[in-house]
Amino acid sequence: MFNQLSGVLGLLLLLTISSCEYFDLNSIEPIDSVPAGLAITDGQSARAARAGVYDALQANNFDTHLAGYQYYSDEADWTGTFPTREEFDIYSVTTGNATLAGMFSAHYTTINVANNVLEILPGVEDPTISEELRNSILAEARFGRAFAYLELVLGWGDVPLILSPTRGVGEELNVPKDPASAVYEQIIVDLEFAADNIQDELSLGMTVAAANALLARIALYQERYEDALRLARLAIGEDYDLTSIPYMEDEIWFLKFSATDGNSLAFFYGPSDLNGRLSISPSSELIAAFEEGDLRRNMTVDTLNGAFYGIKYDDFNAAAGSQTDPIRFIRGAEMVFIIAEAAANLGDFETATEMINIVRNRAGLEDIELDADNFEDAILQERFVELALESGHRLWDVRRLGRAVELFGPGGYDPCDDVWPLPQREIDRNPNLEQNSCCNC
Amino acid sequence: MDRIRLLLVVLLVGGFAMLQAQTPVVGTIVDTDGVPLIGASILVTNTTTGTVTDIDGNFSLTVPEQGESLTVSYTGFATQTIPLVADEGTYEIILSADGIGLDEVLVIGYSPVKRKDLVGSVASIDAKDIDVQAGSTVQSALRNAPGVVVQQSSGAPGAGYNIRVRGSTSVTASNEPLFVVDGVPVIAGSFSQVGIGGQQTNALADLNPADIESMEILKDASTTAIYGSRAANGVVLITTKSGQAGKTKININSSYGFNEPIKLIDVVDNVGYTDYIEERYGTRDISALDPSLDTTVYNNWQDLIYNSNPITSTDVSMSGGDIKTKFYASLSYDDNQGALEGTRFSRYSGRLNLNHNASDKLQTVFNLGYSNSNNKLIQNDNNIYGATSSSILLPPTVRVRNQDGTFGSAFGLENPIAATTEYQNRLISNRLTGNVSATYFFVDELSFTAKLGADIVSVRQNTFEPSTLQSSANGVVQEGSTTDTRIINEYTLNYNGSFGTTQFTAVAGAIFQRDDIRRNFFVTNDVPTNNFPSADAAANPSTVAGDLTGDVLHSYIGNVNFNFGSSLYLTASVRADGSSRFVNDQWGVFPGLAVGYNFANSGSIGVFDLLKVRASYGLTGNNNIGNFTTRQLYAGGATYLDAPGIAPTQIGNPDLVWETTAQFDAGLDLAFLDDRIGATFDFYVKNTSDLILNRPIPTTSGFTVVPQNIGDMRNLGFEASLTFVNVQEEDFNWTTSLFGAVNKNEVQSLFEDQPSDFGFATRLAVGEPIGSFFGYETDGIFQNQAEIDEVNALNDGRDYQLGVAPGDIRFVDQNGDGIINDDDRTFIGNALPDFTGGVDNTLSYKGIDLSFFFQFNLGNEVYNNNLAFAEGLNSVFAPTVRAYENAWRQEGDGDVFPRITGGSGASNNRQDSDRFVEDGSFVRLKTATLAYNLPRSATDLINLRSIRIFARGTNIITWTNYSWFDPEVNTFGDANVALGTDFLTSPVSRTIEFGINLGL
Repeated sequence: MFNQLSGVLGLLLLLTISSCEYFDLNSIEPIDSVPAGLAITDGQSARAARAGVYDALQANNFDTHLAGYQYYSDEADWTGTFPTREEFDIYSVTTGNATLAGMFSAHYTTINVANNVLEILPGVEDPTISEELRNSILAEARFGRAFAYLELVLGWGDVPLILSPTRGVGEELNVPKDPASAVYEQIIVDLEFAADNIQDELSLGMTVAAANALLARIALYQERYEDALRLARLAIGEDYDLTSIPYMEDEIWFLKFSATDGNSLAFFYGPSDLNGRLSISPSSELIAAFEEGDLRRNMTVDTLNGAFYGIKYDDFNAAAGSQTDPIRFIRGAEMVFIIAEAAANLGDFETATEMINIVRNRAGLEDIELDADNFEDAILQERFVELALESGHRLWDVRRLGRAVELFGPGGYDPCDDVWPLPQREIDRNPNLEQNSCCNC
Repeated sequence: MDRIRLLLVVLLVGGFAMLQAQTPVVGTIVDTDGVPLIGASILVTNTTTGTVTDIDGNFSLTVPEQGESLTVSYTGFATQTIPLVADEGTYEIILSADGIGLDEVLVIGYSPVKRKDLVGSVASIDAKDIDVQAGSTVQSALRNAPGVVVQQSSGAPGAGYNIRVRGSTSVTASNEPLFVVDGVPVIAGSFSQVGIGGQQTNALADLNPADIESMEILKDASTTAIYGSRAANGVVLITTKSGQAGKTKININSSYGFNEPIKLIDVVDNVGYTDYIEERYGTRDISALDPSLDTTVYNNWQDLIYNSNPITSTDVSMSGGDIKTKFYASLSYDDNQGALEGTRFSRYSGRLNLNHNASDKLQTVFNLGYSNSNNKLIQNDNNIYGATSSSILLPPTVRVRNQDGTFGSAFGLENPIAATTEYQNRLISNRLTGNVSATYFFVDELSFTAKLGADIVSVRQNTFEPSTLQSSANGVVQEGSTTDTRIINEYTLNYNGSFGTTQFTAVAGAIFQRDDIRRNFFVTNDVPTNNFPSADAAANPSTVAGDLTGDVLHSYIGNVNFNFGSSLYLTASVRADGSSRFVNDQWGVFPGLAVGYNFANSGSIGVFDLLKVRASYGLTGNNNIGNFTTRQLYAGGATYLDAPGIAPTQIGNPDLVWETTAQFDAGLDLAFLDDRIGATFDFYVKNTSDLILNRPIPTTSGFTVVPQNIGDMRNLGFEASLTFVNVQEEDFNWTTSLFGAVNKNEVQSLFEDQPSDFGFATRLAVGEPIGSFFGYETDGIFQNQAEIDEVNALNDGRDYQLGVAPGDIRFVDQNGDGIINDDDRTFIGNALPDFTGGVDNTLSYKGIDLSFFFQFNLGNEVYNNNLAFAEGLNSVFAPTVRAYENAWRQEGDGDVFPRITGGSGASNNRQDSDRFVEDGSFVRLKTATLAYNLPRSATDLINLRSIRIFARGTNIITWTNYSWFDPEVNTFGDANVALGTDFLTSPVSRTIEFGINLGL
């Protein structure tokens, strides 16, 4: 009897002792996530947080960086099945368009990822972080943030400018719009910091040259031609020889992909016989824009069964999601164009002519002569074919020259299409956000 | 842990026993056939003095001086009170079967209670009800309880069930009840990591129903509150079988049968398809649409993949023991091949339940169950690669195999034969569920129990899609595994005593539970040939995932039950739960209270043997959200090329708390005519507050939603059940039970009361029940151009309906603005039934048993999305015969099917509308069993205890107006909100089985 009692109590005691730690309420932590406060603590985690910025740029890449702009111009047509993408193609994007909402939020996800790095990293004290590394990572985060804001401001005009990471979920989330000019100012501040602090050898891909190149692009958009000229030259160097670099290999900044970190670009651009779904097709305007003998045509489009398809993303053998085509955000040729256009606007047609012919010669075309009357059309035409199906150059160029209604009007573009509507879900969720004045608003 | 020790000391001091003068008594207990009952309990009434009968049914006992009668009880028999006569020392006691089960002892929560003393709302399912269910799952038997809605969302064997006890209480968290096996809450849900349409797998299919003694469904808050934060959706207590003292019994059960489709859909044949294509596209040359089409070929795809397939079950069990040690052991094998080719569920299971009384003071229990189940899945539902989908939509004019040996297909649809034979997806589960407990009786009234429970599920899933399938260019291999380990420690102190006519039980306890879940999953593409269905042969990994999650739950429970002279009953319970899932507010307290009064307290009043009114109120919670949902997290996986990356992934909400359900229940229990008629009525109101919803936030935050406690939902219902022992003769017994329930669900508030959309046409909105369908109301078909012109004139310059022509569906302009747009959508139906119920009959005449159960489900509607595709009359998909034949072709052609057209007409006709909402009411002869028990004279000849041969069926006949396979369906599996939607889902099967039970 006594033995039994002690036996039972012994058993209970054993269970009790073994259980205390095991059953602690705070004993289970995720292994694939950490609390935000413990995320960035040393050099290795700072590098990982930086990779997070690049990863955020990769997200939703087809719509966010390419198709949204390409449908919304005369360079590509919608040939897929998603009606929300068709709305871009016919210049009739409604406020409820889910593709539009996805593009908008993808940018802000990138911005929040970057803002986290920018807030946390300066306060991290750890011997594995040198000042060079810290500043370079901060510079890349600022570059990523600036790039997201640039695409936002080009698409929507005035947008909320958010420079600190999201922590709470109360009223502070209801950020109103800031003027596009303020957003541009911040983009320039961020890119200048990037140009001053990126260590190219430590970077994951964003370089000093890329920062200067983006600054040059913005200077051109803002018609600050001297700045544009200076910054473009800074980006490519004084001895830059475009003709020695094959077409499409003159990248200054591009987003890379691998089989395990892949995209579906070839799937969207390719026809079904190449395992694609041909959601996007080069437009007849684009195909007609190539001059006779332009070597770039066969590196831009191809045909199968009588239908044209784009081949700048041609990893057709890989499965959707595992395709590795890079997205080229900035190429040397664009800098050469900026120099040409800035010079022409400053009255230096000699430089302008020299520059545009560098690009034309590489494409196997004859020289042309730029003058005050023809330079805008000639450069716009050359940019159209050179940069076709990359980023959204066609839309941005036509718009900044004030010629959108003239060139896209036949397709349905109205003056009120100069900005996209803010997604309806943002308007619904954020009482402080005022809708843009746009066609379908 | 200190709290337990304190309680222990308090109750130790409080416990006492009385000493009394004594008289010896001996006797025998037998059943009405004269067979001795072994292990029957004899108690001197209103004392704690008692004993049990031995192997020959004999007992001896010393009666204290004031003892006046003996209370004799035995499971399944009516308890009797035998007056003690002075000088009479020997008693021959005959127990008869318990009419409607009032003396049945249920273990509710943590204390035992007799059904007639119950003041909560509890439905019971016994082994007999479980035994009539074909297939291999425990959940299907829950259908036999009022207020429980059971739906199998797909006909695949081993598929998931949706169980709703008194309606839905949640939008985001689970709506499934808590399942507790032998006191251990077990792991339920789906472990498939590969999407194959809307189907879920069913972790509870690991339990062998043949091992189950009974199931109790706790519905009201006084009985569920003791399960605290997981009990808002009710609790299902499952008790496995245990041995009884006496001669060792061996039972061998074997059955063999088949599953067959209950219905197939009439799709056009090759001529019909060619005619259709001619009407739709203006050509009889169907090969122009797809080179694989040949008008001379005819395949009825459904006939090729729906067949009669075998289902077998073999179960051997052995039970017995003596007064000190009792055991139950079983071994079973089930093999269930679905009517849909390629689906199969097989399971080995074993169980050992052991009770050992080490002494008068120490009782120990060991329950251990092991199962190995093998679930073969195929693609289904809303999926162009699904077997059922392609068997409907793929034109009948495609060859099974092309001349080069490849499978024929068209328009990207999978070949149905390939879908059932080539696609490989196996989910293999190894599971160990068990518990060990020791109870020490300090005195007869006071005991302490320590229990260690474990439920360990290890699941491995392998899929291979060879290149012969449309879904895979060069072969895809997917593998995943999940191990879920649940360990529970439970300590309870029990007091069970009486003071005069007052019986009092009390329980206090502490429970600690932890779950650890390890998962991994990968996808890899491109194998050299289909002979290498192996991960290491594949060239390109595309997804690699692995994580760990889990939770810890701390609970402290207390429960007291008073029974004042079998007239007034009072129950109070409370559970405090602390959960690792919450951050700032980890603890919740869930009280429950019930009171009841039995007017038949002196044994009977008027005709009533039981006339009890009762009422209860209590709070329960729902913590079934993600383990780490509340946390602000920075996650890995934000990889850039080969550089590992991290990024904020979850905004989290540290202030999140449980959803709380407050339930009031009022009930009436009646029994009359010598317990021949029993009735139970319950009315309840369940108010759920703090609904956890994903509140949409501005995406400029970098996030889209944050989980928050915002919202309320109400369920209000009435349940009734009646049991009649119609005939109770020596050779003839007949019992009928009827039950029915109504439940009204209403969403009462949401975030800023904004509606949100789910599924195809389901909208969650304030003032509407969950599962409401939203779309256009139709107003027939435009029969001529004049009708169109007339409505176009309503609104200058804009068409009433865009791009319509005669023959197109006409919609109702709800807001009267002369134009049909989103604003004209309205609520067009609801998936929840208005009434659920059943009628069960069991008859036995001499050796023949017959039982049959009709299931009623009335007023539920089904959103039949098949109509937009197989009956859309707009595309290259094969149409059904009725849609093609009844398509609108000229004025006066009816208002059901529109014209055959594409473009804007088709877009119009295929809008979400009440055209796709069908009445899904049905009455089903759900189960029926006919059995013959050989007479003892025959079994004695071959030295067997019993022989029973039987035939049984499930889903035998269904009466419904629903036009597709079966109204009991959901393509969204176990979704909370998107209910009752049919979209190319494999339907439930009819199962007929023949079998034999041998008793040795």
